[in-house]
Amino acid sequence: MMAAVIERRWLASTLFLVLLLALWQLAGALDALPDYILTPSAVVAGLGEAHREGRLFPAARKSMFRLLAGFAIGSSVGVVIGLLAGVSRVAEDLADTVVSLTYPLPKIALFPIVAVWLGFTDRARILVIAISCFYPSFINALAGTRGIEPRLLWVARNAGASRFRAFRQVVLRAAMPSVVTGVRISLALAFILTYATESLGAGRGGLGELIEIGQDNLRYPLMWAGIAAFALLGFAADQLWLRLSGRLLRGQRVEAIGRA
Amino acid sequence: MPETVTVSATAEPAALGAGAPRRRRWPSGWSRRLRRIAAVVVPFMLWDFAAAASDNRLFPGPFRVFEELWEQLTDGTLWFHGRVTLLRGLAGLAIAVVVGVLLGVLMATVRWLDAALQPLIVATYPVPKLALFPLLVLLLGFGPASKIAMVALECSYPIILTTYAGVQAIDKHYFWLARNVGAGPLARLQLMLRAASPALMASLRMAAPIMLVVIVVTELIGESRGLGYLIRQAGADFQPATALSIVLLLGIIGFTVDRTIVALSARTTRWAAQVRL
Repeated sequence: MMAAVIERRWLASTLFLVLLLALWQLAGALDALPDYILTPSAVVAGLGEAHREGRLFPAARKSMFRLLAGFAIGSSVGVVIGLLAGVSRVAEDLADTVVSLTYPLPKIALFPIVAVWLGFTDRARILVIAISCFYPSFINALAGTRGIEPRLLWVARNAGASRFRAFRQVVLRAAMPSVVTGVRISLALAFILTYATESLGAGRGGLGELIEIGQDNLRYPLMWAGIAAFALLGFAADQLWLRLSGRLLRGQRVEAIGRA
Repeated sequence: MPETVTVSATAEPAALGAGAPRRRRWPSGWSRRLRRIAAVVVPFMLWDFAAAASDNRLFPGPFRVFEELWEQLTDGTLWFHGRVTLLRGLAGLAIAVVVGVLLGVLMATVRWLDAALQPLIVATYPVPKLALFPLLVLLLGFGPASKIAMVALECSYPIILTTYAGVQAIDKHYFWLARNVGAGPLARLQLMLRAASPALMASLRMAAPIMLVVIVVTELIGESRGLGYLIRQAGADFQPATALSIVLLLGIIGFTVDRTIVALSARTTRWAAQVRL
């Protein structure tokens, strides 16, 4: 019986998850939890409460706008420059040095400085998110083009493919698994940065503020609603990206882990 | 660009510069080195020029930032706050390594744990754990404990998953060999950690920048010590030069930590023919 459950992995993990949630709920029912830790059912109720107060969707929309704008700008620039640096020596020399020098910086530390210039505005937040998203996309796109089997390229060039065509049909496809992984890391980073920029400074709005309103006014259902919304959106965005990139990667495998 | 149809036998192999055998046709390394230096120097000069042209205290030039860093280092404030930040960050990272390696090894060896935990961890990997920080503050207070816990939580994910993949990828012959010479469970664990050490070091290198980001964010949010706090203060006081000098210091710390890990991994994985970093 036990062995059969383990064989079906999704069944085992679902059972485990249900067990965890049940224990959590039970601990709440027995008053074993402090009052700021809500039970799973109370978290769902909290989402409903935030929605009825008309806070949930406006906050989520605001957060998602910043996140998607920053992510789209940062990761697309990162992928383009990364691929370019992979195929051109000049681009590599120009980009790689600067990137490797600035890579170890925690980019969120720039936010208070950017805020001096742009104020605590959407623009400042989007800029910091975009800068952060640039790096994983760039690094993995560059690594992807470097890791190409050279023989593939020789074959294409020998068969008379132009540089552009070799790039489009060989380099781009061979680098795609690594590119997809890099963008996926950027996406996860965008969520972290969105929360971070929304818990700092004035004029926030967004889910970050919702969490803090709940925390400051001891309205824990609101706080949990914000946390749950972040988690659900993060999970959904990742799944969406995996589905989308599955189409880009027909016949190839996604790399499990890239450089963050 | 029109696509050429003629088959050119002289087509340069790896003409796109992406192949492993690098072109040796470059006149010398000099033009490359020059470009690499220019890529750093030119932006600096532009920055300096723009700062001088704007003549605005809110837009300091690079030399002003270096000067500021030097002043702050010599009067000792940065040492105090830097130590606070670094100690907390490293404590969180250490916890993440212990928990992450333990869970990774357990998941890779115990089948029911693998079935129960692996999908759960993969599913929660993209979820921003940082949003749990307010909860950790309620749980552990505004002191160092909540920050260390936050760092440990965020950093443990890449370590768990990489260790898991690393242990699973170990050559089965190693274990057969170990069993043949009568190795006990402890020796098996030792073998496992040894064989997976390239993956372990790679995961540590992934986790270190995350550690720095998370510790700075938590200090930016609420704290009266640490480099994140100093940056927030400098920003609030409209002192971008001070804030930038601390950002510069964080960059130096990040670079040093990364190099240390690379040096360590060169030592620990000397046996591996191909170091995967």
